[in-house]
Amino acid sequence: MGVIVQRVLVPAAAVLAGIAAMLYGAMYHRAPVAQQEIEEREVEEEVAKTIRVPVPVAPGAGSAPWGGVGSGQKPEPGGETAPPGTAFVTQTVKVLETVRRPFQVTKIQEVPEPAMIFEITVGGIAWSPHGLRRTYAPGEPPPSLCPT
Amino acid sequence: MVAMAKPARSFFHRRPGHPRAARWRIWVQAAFLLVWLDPLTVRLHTVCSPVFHCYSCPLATFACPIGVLANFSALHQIPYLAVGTLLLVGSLVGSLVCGWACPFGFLQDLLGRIPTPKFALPGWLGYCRYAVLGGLVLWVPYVWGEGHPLFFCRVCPAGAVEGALPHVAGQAITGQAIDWPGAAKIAILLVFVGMTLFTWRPWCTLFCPLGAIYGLCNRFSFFFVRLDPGACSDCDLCRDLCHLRGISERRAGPTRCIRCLECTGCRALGIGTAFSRKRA
Repeated sequence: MGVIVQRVLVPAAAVLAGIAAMLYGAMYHRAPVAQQEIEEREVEEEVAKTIRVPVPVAPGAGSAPWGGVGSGQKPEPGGETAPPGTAFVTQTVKVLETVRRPFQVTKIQEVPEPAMIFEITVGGIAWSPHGLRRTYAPGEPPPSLCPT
Repeated sequence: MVAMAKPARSFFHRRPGHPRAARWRIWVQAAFLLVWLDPLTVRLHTVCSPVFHCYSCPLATFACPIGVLANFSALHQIPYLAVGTLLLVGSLVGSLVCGWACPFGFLQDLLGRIPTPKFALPGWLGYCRYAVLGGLVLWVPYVWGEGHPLFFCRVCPAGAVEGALPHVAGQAITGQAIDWPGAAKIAILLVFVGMTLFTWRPWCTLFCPLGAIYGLCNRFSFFFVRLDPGACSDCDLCRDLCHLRGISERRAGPTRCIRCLECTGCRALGIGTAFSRKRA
């Protein structure tokens, strides 16, 4: 009886260790994987804009070369109506504007072990000195069906 | 050094002492092939299988445990799922998986049926498997990463047969640019096929890292091949029946045994469990 217990003890311990390792791997083991993604962000940028600036015209200065009072030029539709004695000059100025631009960002994802096993079957995760990184962007096809 | 082994026999030839269980082996291997090569295209590549089968195979159902070990070593991670699977299966049945379920072993068994003279390799060459396991599967990937030419999957003949060649064939059929596998991989495959014609299961005997793991598990697994010393007449029939020279001093527990159960054709050897009263 004692011999049988001895024989059973080691494989039973190994079976339990195997089940424990599988459960830990399937449910708890995760690894940080860096993912390069393209993300749109709102940024303030200097944008060149063409604007019409009203400038006063001195009486008797004659026809302004750029148009305006005395030039007989009509104001643009929707444009400002020039008060008497005012002309407009077109200028390009830089103004701050909020725009959306694509940025490459690095996101760290906690990848569970089963997903990592799948990723290595398609060469989807690689090691680098800074940590693990995914080799393809989301939505793209994986690098290879046969990594080697 | 290299002894001449018995000649190959036909598929269903029954020789004296050929046990009933072992006669079913080829059918069990074929049935397991449907599990590893799923024609219904169920892909469970998040799970490790307990057998040596490349996950790059277009029909592979599961992930290869050795490929997972090697790749996780390259990622400097511990593959708990793969280790747990191997520990669980190994401690239950040991290398019975090699003899009865492994598709690559099945392929070697089929090639071994070609009637050519077979030579038995010396037993000490089995230690090469541990060098492959420690070196190519764990150490090389950990130190140099998966890009190294000696990374295990880059030289694996199972990967060449099951993964690379089907992909090349698929690319050729569909008219795509062919992505040829590495020359080393193809050369190793050719050498391996050549060896299979002249020795039984050369991959399992010499290089298989999964067989090395299960071989270690043979020493304590629940299931084992039992020797009844009272029934042994020192006739050496068990050694004659064993293709792989897995029997040493009439003990069927050494690490080379693939538990094909051919040796149980001798009445002194039988299937036992940890609960049996007698053990080899």
